[in-house]
Amino acid sequence: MRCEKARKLLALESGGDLPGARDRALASHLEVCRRCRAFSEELALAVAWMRSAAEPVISEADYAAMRREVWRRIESGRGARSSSFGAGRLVLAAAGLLAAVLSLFLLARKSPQESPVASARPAVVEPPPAPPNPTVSSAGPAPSPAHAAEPVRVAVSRPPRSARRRPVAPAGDSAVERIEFRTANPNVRIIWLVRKGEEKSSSMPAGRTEEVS
Amino acid sequence: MSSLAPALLTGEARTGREAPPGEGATSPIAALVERAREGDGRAFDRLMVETQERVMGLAWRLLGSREEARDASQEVYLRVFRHLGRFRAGEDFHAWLYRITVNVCRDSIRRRRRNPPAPAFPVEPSRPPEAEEDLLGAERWNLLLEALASLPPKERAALVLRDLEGLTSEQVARLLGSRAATVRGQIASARLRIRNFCVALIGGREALP
Repeated sequence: MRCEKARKLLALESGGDLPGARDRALASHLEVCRRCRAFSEELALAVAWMRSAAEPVISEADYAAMRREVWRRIESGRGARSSSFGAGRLVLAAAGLLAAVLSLFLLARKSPQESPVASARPAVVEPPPAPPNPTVSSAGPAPSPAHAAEPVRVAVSRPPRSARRRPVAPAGDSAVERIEFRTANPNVRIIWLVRKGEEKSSSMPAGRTEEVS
Repeated sequence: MSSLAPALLTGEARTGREAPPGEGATSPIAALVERAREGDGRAFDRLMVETQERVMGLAWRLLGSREEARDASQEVYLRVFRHLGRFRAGEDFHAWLYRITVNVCRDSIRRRRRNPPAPAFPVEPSRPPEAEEDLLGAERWNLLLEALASLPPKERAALVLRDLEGLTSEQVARLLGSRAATVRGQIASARLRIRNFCVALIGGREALP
């Protein structure tokens, strides 16, 4: 065994980390090598010195300061957590409020016809003050006389969006009832197209005013 | 403590301190841990008192500076406090504490590499030594820190855990996330360097490469 290898093994042996088989090989080298024997003694002394000096001198004041700081950091962490939690709640509340305002705004923009302001938009044609004389041209339900007797105020209004999206069946289609009102003004007729099988309330108020020339 | 011998973790062999009883559910430490987990602040404080010497001592040996050791110890106990809920009953608390301490110190060493501090040595004693024995002890301790500071970080950690904390090579390897053979090589190399340091300190004899 070479000295360099022996010294590495001695370093392991000094801490009890050498397997038995190698220990025997090392022992036989040490018997014949005086310098490695001296090295082994120095190594043992160094390890013993290291172990004897391994106790740090730490005062109780140091420990107490350390514990105090730990508690301070724990408490500040708790505070930070709770304040951040509070801030989080505020942010959530603000976000909720903003979302509510935005949705209200969008809702208002989507249905302008349904709003009272929008309903005032249609152009109003003032017919003569004569009472209307409705004539029902189909077998469908006729409007009530009271309704027919109301002052005629014909408006050309846009149907609601839902009605606009639906394709309107042409007149004469068997699926659609056509109700025609004649007004005192011979040039103005009111035509109602009602889809068969649908409730009146849900049918489109496809009121259309035509001016007959 | 089945995997880590109590004498090793408590330093009984080195310091003569009494080893704590086994880490079963009935040991005082286990009872403190249980109470601390339930939110008992006094129990947590007591837990710190019971283990602070070991934690701060190990941190000091690994880091070489009292200030750094104190900071690291604080971080160790903060991590213990935060993760105590994850600690499973019946597990070895000392081994768990050891792992945390080693990890915190390794983090600290990494940070130090990125931001090298002012020269760490000579190391100041924690209190002014009064008796002659204190003076000698402080001098020995400072020399030891100087010797440890001459080691590469990995060798230093392996040597401290093996020779100063008394863990086996396998336990050190597990703690450091390395192979036992690698750790043994690091320990051997570190011992040779310590021997050279001592020889150079005494003077007169040749220092080995």
